[in-house]
Amino acid sequence: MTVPAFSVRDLRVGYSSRRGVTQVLHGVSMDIAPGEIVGMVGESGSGKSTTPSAALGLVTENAIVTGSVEMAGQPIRLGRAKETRQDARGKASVIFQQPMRAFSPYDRLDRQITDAIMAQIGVSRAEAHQKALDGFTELKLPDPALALRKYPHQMSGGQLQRAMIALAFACKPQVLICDEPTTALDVTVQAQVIHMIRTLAEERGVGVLFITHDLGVVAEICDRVYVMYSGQIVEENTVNAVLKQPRHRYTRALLNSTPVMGEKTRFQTIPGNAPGAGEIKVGCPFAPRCQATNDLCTTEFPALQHQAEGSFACHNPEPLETV
Amino acid sequence: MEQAVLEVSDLCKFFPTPAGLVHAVDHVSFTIDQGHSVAVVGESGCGKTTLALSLLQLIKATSGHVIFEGLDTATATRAELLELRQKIGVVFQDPHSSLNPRMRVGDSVGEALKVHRGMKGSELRAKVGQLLEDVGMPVSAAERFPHQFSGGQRQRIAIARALALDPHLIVLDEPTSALDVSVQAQVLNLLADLKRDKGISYLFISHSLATVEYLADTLLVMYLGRVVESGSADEIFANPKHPYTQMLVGSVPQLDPDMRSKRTMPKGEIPSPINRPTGCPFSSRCSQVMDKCRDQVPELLQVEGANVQTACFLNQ
Repeated sequence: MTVPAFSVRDLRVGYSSRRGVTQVLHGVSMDIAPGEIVGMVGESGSGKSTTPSAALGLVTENAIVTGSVEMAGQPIRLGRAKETRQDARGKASVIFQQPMRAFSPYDRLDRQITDAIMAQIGVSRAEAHQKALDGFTELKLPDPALALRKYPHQMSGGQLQRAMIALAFACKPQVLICDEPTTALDVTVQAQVIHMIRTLAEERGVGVLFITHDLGVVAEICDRVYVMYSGQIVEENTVNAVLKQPRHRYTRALLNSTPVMGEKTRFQTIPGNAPGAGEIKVGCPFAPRCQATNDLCTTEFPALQHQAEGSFACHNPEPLETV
Repeated sequence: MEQAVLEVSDLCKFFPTPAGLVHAVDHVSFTIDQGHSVAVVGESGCGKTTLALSLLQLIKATSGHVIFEGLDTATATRAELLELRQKIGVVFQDPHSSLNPRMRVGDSVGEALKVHRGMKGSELRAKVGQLLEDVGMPVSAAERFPHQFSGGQRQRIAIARALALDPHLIVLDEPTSALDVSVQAQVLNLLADLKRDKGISYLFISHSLATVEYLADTLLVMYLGRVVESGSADEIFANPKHPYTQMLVGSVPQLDPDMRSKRTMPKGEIPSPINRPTGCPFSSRCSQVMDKCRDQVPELLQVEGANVQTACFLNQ
């Protein structure tokens, strides 16, 4: 068996404040193989961004992170964010949602990208510049040498996101975290960006964690999917299984509320709101919004059950259709 | 008898810039009938928000007419405009910034009632409470502040505020883009209910075709300031005629992973509106471009046998 590019075991994150510790992530475990694209979906506040942030040391000082993380077989220290960042350096890259905010408006792209490449993989400025130029050429940015001389405001959102992808891959990462990279883009540009990320990840054998709330995007790019709810993984399976035959009631509810082209029917909604972080819960966290609860759901916490293929945490799962 | 709520004819908005004239909205015409909704779609920079702002008179149009219930806004007096504005509600994209964080929700929703209808005291409270109930919020919400609500709830509050003066038309500028899918579904259902129960017309601006499909009767597809296809939303979604609309519809991700291989990748990016291609604006990205597309501008013409107009030589 190959060593996973990204492996997380029982990752827990809490934020300490004067009022005590607010637990936001309750034991998340996942594996991503090299070249595999794994989706992570859930509503705002479900912990889908916290998981990679904690694994990369991008959390604030008051975060308490426990568990274990490995990148390409190398353990990452989690005790202090600074050590985490040190260990993850050169192994992981991140692409954020808003390319306009990810770049500083004050410097030319050349400066920002070469600085980042130098810091990540410790090469000389000339080498870093060459890597940036190669990346821009590969991502088909018009006139790459000129594009590197530009300031972020002189480029469109789609171009900047491509510049960000060029930077991410120039650092030769084992793991690439994409945090809603296409949410701010037009559908046409989104299709292009998704295609680029998939091609590059497969070519270079980079394990990708693709965070999104759009199940359509998941269908386009991912091999496997984790569904998050209230700081936990509630379902994991191949993309086909999750989208066509979900077992967890929450996954089904999410699918039903997603608008689909060509179907002009009234949406089914999920009643209520996702629970806030730190709310103490008995039983299944989704139970108050679930349409198919039984007695067990309100009293006992459902553990993640591992099946022959995939896993889910539900006392009353959707029955498997026998085709 | 259906009456047109809004008639827009040959509306233009040009912005002079040092690099040249930007044709943000270029000869756009359409009508919204009572109880109908018109959706405007297109990529960023195609002029859809400028269109909304100029017909709301929030920016002054360069030329053209906006006729609201028979009144031409270009020649209307101040008093007439004041009257007219009460009949149009607006909901913006981001409910975090469109509600005043220092005003109680009840004050935000009731402000227009106080100003225009002179309501106060228990009468005002009752009306505000009813508006909040209409959008599925508890009456007690009036006493709280916007930060105490989630994004979806805040968008409901913004809709309640837009409904306060019983508008005939609501302009919705990307009302669900900032929301989670589950919440987006709630807001879209609410808008559909209001349209059915109160006969309100909508001008719905969005870049998300899947959400537009649910709410729109008529569709306008814009590209670099021009309407390239318009007509019955159902017909356009079923059978897009203009190559740009085909590209837009084809780019929407489908929920079926097996569909991946069947997609064609959209070509290029929307050009800068400062140097718009001569001829058809879409000619630089079109896969079926012909010689005449590069030097002649296609007119928006009726497609034979369909309730659709396109600006494309392929259909003429």
